[in-house]
Amino acid sequence: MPARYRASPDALATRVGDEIVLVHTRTDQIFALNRTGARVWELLCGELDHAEIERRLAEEYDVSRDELGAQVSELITSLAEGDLIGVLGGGP
Amino acid sequence: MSATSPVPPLVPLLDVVAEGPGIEEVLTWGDASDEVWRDAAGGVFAYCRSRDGRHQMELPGVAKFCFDGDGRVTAVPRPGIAAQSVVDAYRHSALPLVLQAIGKEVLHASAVVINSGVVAFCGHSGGGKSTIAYGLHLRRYRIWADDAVVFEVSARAVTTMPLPFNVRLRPAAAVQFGLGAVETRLPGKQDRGADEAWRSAPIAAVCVLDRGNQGSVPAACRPLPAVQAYPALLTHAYCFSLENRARKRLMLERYLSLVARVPVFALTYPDSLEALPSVLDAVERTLGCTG
Repeated sequence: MPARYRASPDALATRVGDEIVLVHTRTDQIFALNRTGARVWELLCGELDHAEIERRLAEEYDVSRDELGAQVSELITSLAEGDLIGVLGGGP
Repeated sequence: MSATSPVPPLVPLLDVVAEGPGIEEVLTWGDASDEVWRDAAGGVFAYCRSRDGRHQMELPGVAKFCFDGDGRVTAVPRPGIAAQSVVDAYRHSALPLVLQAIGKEVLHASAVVINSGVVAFCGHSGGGKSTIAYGLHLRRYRIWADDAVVFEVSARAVTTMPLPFNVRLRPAAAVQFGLGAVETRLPGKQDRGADEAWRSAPIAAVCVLDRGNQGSVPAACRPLPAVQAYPALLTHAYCFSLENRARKRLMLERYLSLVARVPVFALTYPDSLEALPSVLDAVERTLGCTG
């Protein structure tokens, strides 16, 4: 089963215009997601897996699937390293 | 309840007593969980501690305070400190921390009222908050707060409630305004009353003060992106203690809501009182305000 994600209970998120500002309440680190990143965050919080997120984004943005896949992977890795998301289940 | 009901009392009553039962014996500082707040010069500003819903605080050399959110604060002055000095210290220094401890959020800021709400000017002590607020007051804007702006976040708005205050101007600023070369206190809101002029009001904007070291820095007021505004505001947030994780999280959530809903600006200006008119011009121009 592909991995699905959820927001960390230590993460706070708020939308400011097109962006989402994330705060980790234990490390006090602050992150800003641009418009596309904010959309990925919303989809992640909707418990979609990587492939479904890519598919949705491909419908919404005029970007190649390869480029999308790389960007989504990079963002998920960054969010996981920041302990802002956790894996709900499934593989990597 | 009518639509014109006053704002419920926000400020806990202060009892200044010679001895506080249960205060002297417990107020020894040094536990790892005690919060020690320091001023910009590194001196201890306040010691704070919360245990089982009871909060204790010491302003070194002034008084010890004890409260639990029941609407009263007990203060025990240090030897030789007059009761009136304790009352002054309570209003100016202790009250913002007390309010934060009992569930409000408080910015270290002065504020004025413009047509769309309250504009808060937050900054470090001596950074020009009161001077700018008083300068705007002379341009017909009512002063809302001096040194502490309490706010709350609801589903609809971010609002601020009036606190008692006096405007405190440092000697150099007092001279600039023709008030004499001494620290000057001018009366603002004085009591717990809640007349029409002192009802809660929306926060229209927050300006984070950034006084430059060089006189050549022009006065400017520019919008701050949320990711910069958030830590900038937290720098000027009164906080009783970070020990309680749930309370800390709530505080962070509220400040996130503040930057999401209220425009935040960086107000940069030269380190010279002669530049004050240009600073006030920049504020008025940016906020498009009228008093």
